[in-house]
Amino acid sequence: MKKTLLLITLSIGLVLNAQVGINILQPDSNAILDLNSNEKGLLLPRLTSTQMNAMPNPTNGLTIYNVEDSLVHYYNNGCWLKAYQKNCNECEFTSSVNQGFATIDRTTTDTATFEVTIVKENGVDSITTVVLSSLPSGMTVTVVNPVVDSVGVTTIYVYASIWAAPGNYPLIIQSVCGQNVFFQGITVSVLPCIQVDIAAPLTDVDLQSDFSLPGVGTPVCVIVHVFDNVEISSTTTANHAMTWGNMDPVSHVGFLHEGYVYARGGDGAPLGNLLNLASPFQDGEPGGDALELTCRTTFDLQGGVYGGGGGGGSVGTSIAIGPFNVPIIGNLGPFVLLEAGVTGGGGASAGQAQSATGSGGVLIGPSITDDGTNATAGPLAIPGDGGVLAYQIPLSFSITVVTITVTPFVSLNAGDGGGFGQQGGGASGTAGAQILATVQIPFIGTQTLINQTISASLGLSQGGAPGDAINKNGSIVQNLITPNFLIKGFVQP
Amino acid sequence: MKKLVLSSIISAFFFSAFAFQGVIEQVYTDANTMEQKTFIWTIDGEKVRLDIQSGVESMTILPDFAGLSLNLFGNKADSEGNYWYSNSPLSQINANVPKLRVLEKLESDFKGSPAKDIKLMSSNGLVIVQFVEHIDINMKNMNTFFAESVEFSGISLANEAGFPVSSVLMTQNEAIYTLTTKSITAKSVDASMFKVPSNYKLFTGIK
Repeated sequence: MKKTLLLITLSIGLVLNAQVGINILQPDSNAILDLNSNEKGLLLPRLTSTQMNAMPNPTNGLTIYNVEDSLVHYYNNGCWLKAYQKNCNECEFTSSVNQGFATIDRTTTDTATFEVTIVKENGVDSITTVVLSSLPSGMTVTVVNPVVDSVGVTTIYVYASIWAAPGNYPLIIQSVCGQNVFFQGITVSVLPCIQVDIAAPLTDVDLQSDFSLPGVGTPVCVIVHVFDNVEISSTTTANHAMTWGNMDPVSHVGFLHEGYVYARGGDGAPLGNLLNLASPFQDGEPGGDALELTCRTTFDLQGGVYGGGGGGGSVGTSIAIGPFNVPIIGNLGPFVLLEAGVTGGGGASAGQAQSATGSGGVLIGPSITDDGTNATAGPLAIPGDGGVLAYQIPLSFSITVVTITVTPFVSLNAGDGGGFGQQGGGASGTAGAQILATVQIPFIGTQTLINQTISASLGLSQGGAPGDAINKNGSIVQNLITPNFLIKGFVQP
Repeated sequence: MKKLVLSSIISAFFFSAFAFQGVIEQVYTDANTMEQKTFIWTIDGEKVRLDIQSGVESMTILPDFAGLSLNLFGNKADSEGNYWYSNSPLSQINANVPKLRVLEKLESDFKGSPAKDIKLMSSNGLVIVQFVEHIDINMKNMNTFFAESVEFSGISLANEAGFPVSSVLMTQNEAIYTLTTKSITAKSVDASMFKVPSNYKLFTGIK
């Protein structure tokens, strides 16, 4: 009877106050159910997602514990939400990067690649990925496919030029969707390059051997810095002023050039055999090449690169008479009146003119020659001038009653040497002789037998070809802008 | 009058029928160098050939009076064995016609034949020309072609006609040159002597 009376009393209390306290005498006045325990918790219904979603017409606020994602879900306005979500359209996604660390050696690669896989799980907004970084000069970040609607890969390229300072550079990948932000950290390590500083003049530079750099088989990254106004030149046209030499083809050279790299000019053409013009005259010597590349090269060109100028062409001649048939005297000649020749000027820089010398053959007139001049040396070299001759002096003699006056005329211009990167000048000229033969006939007078002008053969030669400013040898070249006033001469592929 | 006409006809017949045909050899001596040249005149009426020899050198002059041109050749072949002659219009020959003044005409003797001497003053000195009239020659032709000859010019200037057989040009004290006749041989002359030999080629300039 007592137990029955107590139950009734409690039931009356629940109904009257609408509050239930468990292990608490006075439930919170705002709580309909106030659970109190120092040892136990509230155990919500434990459902799978399928079970959760299978509930018909759940009421807003209905709450369960999802055993699949281990999160409390609550129902609100038509959808089940995780405990931290506010509405049915709130974005939810996952983001993962394929690697957290990459290396750039600037030899085999200049770029580190990171792939970020995005998977959206809820919501209607797209996921946008950006990279937060503080990179030095010469490094850039490119994000490809930065916006993913549902599932996709955003690719991040981190590029380091050869000029970038070496070091480890952290970057933060930030993916954003609505109010949700996802951060991931990555690190790029830029390896150092070998530094070669050239602060004093040099000649015939072979980068690989002169600076003891690794050769074929060991690709390396090298930064070559030619300081302001420092001159690198070649001593012969056969040598490059500067070559990368026996570097591995995969190596990468950064060429920071503030000085001058210039090749030797070709020598002016010498004279051939003036008495035997059938012998080929030599053309002016081609100018030397300035810079030869043997591996990938990135330019920072602030100084001059000059191919050598070609040497000037020479010209020579000998003026021979006969054998001609002439009445009274039968044969006139053959004999050589004179020989003349001029040599070409030297090409810039330092191209030499050759000494013009006669044949030493038997002449009845003079052997006249004129030397070209040497080119000056240095990056401001002035090419040499070709030799110049002008001659016209009559020569008279008699054979029996015939008086012969021969007036040889010669006007020869050898080619001037070429300036940096320019072809040497070709030779030009005219030569010949006017022949006047008269016979004094007793009782009658003076009869002109011959009054003719003949042309002499000229041994003409061409100017030498210009040297190349840069010979790539098939190497990859970056940041080289042509035409460029700093480059004189051809850039060969 | 009839006698005069007859005389003229006979004279014309005589000179045309008996015009000189033969060879006259003369020696020209340069008084300064004593260099001598032999002048060989071959004449057949109005046809004239002059061979001038000096040592082994030879030059032959064949005037073409009708064509007013001069053929000239030597005796030397070129390196290919060819012989050459030139043919020049007379107008292209530069002649210094002597300026003469007749001083005196005298009768004289040349190797037993009657001759005449003419003294002339030229710009170079005194000229004494001896000529014979019996070697008849066309003075107009000779003066036209041999325009530098003081001999032919002098004879014509003196209104005479004939062939010079000697001459001397001298200054006040010395001779400059002398021309003497070594022989006069009347004989038949082959007509080919007045033609350029057929093996000679015309010279038109050096090639």
